[in-house]
Amino acid sequence: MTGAHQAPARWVAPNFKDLLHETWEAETFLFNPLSGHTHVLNQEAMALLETLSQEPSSTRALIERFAAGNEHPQAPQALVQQLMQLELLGLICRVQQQH
Amino acid sequence: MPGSATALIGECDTRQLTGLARHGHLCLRCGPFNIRLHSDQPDMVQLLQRLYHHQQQLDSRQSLSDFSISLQRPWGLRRWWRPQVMMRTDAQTPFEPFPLNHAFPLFEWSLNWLIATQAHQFLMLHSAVVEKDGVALIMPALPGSGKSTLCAALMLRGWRLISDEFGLIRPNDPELLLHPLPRPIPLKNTSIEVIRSFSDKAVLGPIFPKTRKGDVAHLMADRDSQLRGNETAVPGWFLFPKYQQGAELALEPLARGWTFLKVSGNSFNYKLQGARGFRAVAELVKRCPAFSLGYSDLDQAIQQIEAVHTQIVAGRRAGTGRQA
Repeated sequence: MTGAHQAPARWVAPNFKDLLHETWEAETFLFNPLSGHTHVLNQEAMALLETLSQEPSSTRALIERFAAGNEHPQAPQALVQQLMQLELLGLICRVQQQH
Repeated sequence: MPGSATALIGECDTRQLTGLARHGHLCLRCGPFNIRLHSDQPDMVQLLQRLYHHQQQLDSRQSLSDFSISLQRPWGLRRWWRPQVMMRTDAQTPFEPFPLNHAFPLFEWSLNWLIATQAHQFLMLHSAVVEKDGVALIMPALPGSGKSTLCAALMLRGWRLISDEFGLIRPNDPELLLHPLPRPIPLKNTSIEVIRSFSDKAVLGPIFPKTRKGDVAHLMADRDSQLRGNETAVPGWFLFPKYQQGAELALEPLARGWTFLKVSGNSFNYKLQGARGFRAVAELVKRCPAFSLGYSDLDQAIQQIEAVHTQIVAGRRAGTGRQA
């Protein structure tokens, strides 16, 4: 019996390498061949996606990286909402890390 | 599909064409498609012969057809009382019957529907396309834009009509060449008189009153456009025209992102094409500058279009890429 517990979920973009994307002006147009949908992402969302394509990150780590320097008090909340939207679009998912 | 060309349809004997159509053997070559017609309506065949004058007529017994359209009077009461015509294709009747004297608009509408729902070997942009100096101007159709009127006027000023409705591109073609489909241009309501008075070269069919889109008359694609139905064109630029009564002429460059959304959103089958469609539209948007054009005066609009086109063509020849 190991008594392993589940750490908080981390986010990952498992299919990023399959996505097609073009960036014009401040927007990225992204095609997901798994869903057949085309999405328009702003710079912040695209930066999140690229980060999560390199390695899984927790919400806390992402807030520290992207929202900590932001003076707007709602920045962490906005980042969490953005993560949930990307999850709804099927672009990222949660993974549990066993300790 | 390949077929054995026999003659230009306008040079055929009308009675012979009527006989072929009656037995379902009339086959018309238009752009990349062979279209087989089965109809017992001689008026319809005569108008087809007039408006598709310079297209090839094939012997359907020796040709494969891409689309088969049957326009027949139904049996029963409506064969005689307020007579109607029904369209059948591959044992389907996808539309409600039309009044018998609207057989030609039904043919045109049916052909649009068949192409849009079946010709997926092409990425199909919902656009008018015209060409000059080997370079194409693509005008995506936004509701109320007046693109058919502008397209007709450009053709009457010497531009080659590629298509009034379909920008046909083979999505795997690295050059993204536009394939012609030089069919009659359906003009609606006030556009009919605008074009009739715009040029005495306009060859118009009869006015079909009170269709589902109002009064409609078809402008014949000019001889050059019809005869060059196999000659593709290089995509040059996008124009989103917007007719507004009394408006000053206003040309504005458009952002690529906006253009991508409008072009992909107006395509008949962008989503069905999947990754190929994304790559093709993205590449088009990279290569082709885009503008909006507000106008109320056709001559002014054409003058402005000619000026931009000259710059685009010169840029292409100088190899300076996208920007005019």
